[in-house]
Amino acid sequence: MAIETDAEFSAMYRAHYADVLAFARRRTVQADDVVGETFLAAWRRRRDLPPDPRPWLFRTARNLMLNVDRSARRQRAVAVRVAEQDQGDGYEPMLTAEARMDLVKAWRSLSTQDQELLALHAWEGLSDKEAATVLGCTRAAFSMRLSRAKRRLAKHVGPVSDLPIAFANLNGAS
Amino acid sequence: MNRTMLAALDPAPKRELTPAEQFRQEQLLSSILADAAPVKSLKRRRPVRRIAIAGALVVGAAAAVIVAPVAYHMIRGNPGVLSAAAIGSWTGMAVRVTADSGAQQWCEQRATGDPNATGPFTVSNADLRGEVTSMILTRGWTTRCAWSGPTRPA
Repeated sequence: MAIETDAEFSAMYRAHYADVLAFARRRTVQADDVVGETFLAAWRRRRDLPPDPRPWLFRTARNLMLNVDRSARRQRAVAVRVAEQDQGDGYEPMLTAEARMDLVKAWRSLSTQDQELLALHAWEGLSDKEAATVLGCTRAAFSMRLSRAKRRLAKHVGPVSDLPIAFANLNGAS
Repeated sequence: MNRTMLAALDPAPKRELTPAEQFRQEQLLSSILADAAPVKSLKRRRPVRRIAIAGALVVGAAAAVIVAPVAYHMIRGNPGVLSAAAIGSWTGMAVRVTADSGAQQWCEQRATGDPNATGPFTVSNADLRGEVTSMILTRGWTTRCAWSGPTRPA
């Protein structure tokens, strides 16, 4: 996807800005800075962007967050935040307050690697291949790690009566 | 995993950008488009550093192969220069070399000096220990250390 003109870049930018912003907001409070740096990198490498730049943009944003400071550089994954309060987005009927607390607790008991895998899958809505591109691994490796992360999350949640639907098809298609 | 369940915990659920966010979006786009930095390439750069290091290693290895035998012989010494008897006659006290000794002539013949140097050798630190005569010969800018023993025409 060689971008040659300002108009082409602007179109790509507007198509993916919200997604990159949400990606950054899930992981850092300095999301605007990350988004700016990410798209600046894309602008400077616009002639070599892949046909679908979204995984590339996520990967760049992730690397920027990992490189924020030296201590974070040693980490292999970016911690993913979680919404503790219901945001009124229509999901309230799905989870009671108690179930949400259990789920938040289970989420926090996961490693940052597991959180990242699940977030890419559930929130960014990436395919296995796209998520593997973001993390810099193979699709098979991502699929395997994601399955394990799902199992660990289910184990941490435990037998919660409010989540039967959620975990009934734990290993099935999402 | 049910994505819908986890979506309830999404801290940044999908929604329309607010007017403030749209303003920031356009401001950022303007500043990016104004960036005049040269376009970088994602293509892998040529591994210049690796090639340089590998080349240096190859040259070093080749030099070691060439130099090692020479260094070995230099360290080990040339057993043909002095006989065991000459070395055995070595004394702690040095004796002055007499002027009529043939040792200096022999040493001058063996010493390979600077081909551009002219004039006779200047002899310094000449002494005789047992059967071995040693001296330092200087001609022009070239200095050689030479020695002779009883097996030589001293």
